[in-house]
Amino acid sequence: MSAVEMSESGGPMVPQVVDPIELIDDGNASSNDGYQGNQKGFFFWAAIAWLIFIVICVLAADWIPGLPGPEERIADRDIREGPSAAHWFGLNNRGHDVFARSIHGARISMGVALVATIGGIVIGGTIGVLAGFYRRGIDATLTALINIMLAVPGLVLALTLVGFFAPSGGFEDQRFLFFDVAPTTNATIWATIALSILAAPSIARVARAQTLVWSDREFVLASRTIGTRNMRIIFRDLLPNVLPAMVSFALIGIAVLVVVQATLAFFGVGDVTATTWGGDINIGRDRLDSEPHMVLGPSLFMFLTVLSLNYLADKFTQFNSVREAGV
Amino acid sequence: MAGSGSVHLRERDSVLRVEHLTVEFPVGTSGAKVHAVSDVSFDIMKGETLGVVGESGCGKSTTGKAIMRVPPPTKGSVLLEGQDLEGLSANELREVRGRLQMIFQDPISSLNPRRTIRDIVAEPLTVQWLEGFPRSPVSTAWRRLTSAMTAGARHPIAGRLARVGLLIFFIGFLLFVASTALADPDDFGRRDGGGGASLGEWIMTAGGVVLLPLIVVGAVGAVLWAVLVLLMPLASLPRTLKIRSQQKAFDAETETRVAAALEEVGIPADLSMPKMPHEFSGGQAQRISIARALILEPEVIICDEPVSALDVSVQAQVLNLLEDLKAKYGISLMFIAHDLAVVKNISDRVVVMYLGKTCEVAAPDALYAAPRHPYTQVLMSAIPVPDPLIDPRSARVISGELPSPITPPSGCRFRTRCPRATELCTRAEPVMTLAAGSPGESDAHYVACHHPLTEEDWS
Repeated sequence: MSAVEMSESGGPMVPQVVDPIELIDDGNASSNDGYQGNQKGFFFWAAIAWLIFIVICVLAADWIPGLPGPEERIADRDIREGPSAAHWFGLNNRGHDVFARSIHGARISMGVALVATIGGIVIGGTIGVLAGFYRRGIDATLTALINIMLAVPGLVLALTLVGFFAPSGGFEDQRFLFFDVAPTTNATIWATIALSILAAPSIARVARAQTLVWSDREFVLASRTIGTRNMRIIFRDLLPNVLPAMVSFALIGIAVLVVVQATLAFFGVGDVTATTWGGDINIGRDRLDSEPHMVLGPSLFMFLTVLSLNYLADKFTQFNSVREAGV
Repeated sequence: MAGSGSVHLRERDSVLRVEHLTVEFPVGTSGAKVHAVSDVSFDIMKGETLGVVGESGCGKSTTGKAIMRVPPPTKGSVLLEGQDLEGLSANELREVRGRLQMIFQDPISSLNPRRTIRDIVAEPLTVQWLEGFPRSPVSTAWRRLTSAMTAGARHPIAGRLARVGLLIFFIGFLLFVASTALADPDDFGRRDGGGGASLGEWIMTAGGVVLLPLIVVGAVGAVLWAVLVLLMPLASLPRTLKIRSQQKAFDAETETRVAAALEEVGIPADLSMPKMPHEFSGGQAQRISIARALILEPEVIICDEPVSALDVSVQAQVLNLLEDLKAKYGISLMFIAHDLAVVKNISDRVVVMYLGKTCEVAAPDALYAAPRHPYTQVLMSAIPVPDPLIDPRSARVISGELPSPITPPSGCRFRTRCPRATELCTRAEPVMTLAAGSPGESDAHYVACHHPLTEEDWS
């Protein structure tokens, strides 16, 4: 329920309350509306618009009319041509349109980062909530597990996992679970799994801390006194309160995952043939001083996406904290 | 004080009868315990209000929670209309819990901020309704396995095994590393620790053997658990579909009951039901808590400091509401509070507690006019009197802090702060005895003290 709806439904209630004393202390019911963080300004809608644009890129990059394909050679001789009206971000060293590649790159970059974040929320959330809810020995064991996961150098873990399960080279199908998949797809899947495992421990810590706080609230005790089962307490009482903090934290983590995914591609691990922002930055890296436009294009996309996500994550936290402040 | 004994229990049928209730919490791994509640007994008749007073940390809230079995008491019995709550199965206990309800101190914290008032008040009904649908064998197996694994992980032997195993393993590891590092390198720069290193390996293996049962049981349990979790959604599908098909009828029926409960506590139902808890004030939130407790038509409500977080004007409203409900439905109340004036007004009988023990049991008027336990007297003199001519410095106060409940004083637990303490109080724990009135009657006055106050002390 948004703040606006709150005030609308809060307004007419006051005169109908019979008891005059309730009139006095009902005043704070809608007083949160004046809080600044609750307002959706220009930047909020700009961030939303940019993310909608990215979603369109992810879903429909192949069908945008007039947009060259990622591997379409625009020029044979004037490669690394600077930005022009026809090619907004210029051409790269293979004569591909950088703008088109940035749009096409959104699919793998954002797809991997988003799926990995969801995976991280599931893995980390499960560990964190169980540790915070059951406490004692279970907490100690799971916290140890979290600390071990945090102590392992992330990049090494990701390189090992992807390198071991999805060795690059060769064109024969590889097996993932029960399915035969192309080696490039397999590499992408394992990169996503590796990123989920990387994201999980820090999300688990947030989830555990939040669960510790919320499970001490008296409404959890009240649920116990009516004989509610633990699973129902976790899903009805704890998760709705723990999830917002976890999601806001994970949204900020998406930015990191986009970069790590680029780093993996940079090391030649994972699907190196895919068009990704990280891969394109890598292509233009050695010409940064003479032809910076090759790096600027994908960097700009990444920058704006990460900025939008962080901004929305912030806003998301604020909307939620307002409701708790009222409580 | 430190009174034990149960002479003050009445012979008549009581709604709630608590006998020798003891609650202890372990501290660390040394075996030390917090003696939160030690051998407390009391009973509540139908329609009666029992006030429980005492300073912070005396175990009054713990007593209330132990009766609700969150967590269950270490020793002692709780009888609800003669039915012992100990040894009941989870399902039987769930049924009993409908007749025994609790409201808490912090009204806002008592309501889940992310659920609507309708859902919150309907929750006890929903939980009982859902229990009516039998669970799939997979869910039952999963629940058994989960609780078995939780219990196993918490078993002291598991902890000791893990600690000892890890210690042995680490010693062996250190030995191995040290002897290898100290050895001279051979022609290829490799070091061989020789006897020390192989001894280290043996010790590491021994540590591994100690850890082996934990690892095997843990791994097998985890695999089984994961398999059951994966099967569960499919196995629970028939139950879920059955619940879905009856959801609408249940919601409609619940709606009227929730509305009735809310109207009962003076909350306009139509407007409030779709709202969230943060849209209500403390007093309103506490009434919603009361509505939630009322909806299962309980016989006893345990009120854990229900008004101490409220504005004084709202306190009176909530107290009046509790009184009205008591008169209307014949509910018995256990009223835990530290506000003595409130307890005096609402209670039919008052129990004074100190450091997990009962000191004195009496009707409020007798207790307030003629306290017999030195601690009660100190409590009474701490009640603020709205008279500017009275010098607050003349009030009887006790010095010192509440002793640690981990190592409570021997004999009478109040003796360390008691002005009347003698050597006898160190040796023997006083037992609850009749000090005035006749047993079983409302004028009965019980005190657990070797040197109770007499008439000359009150003047």
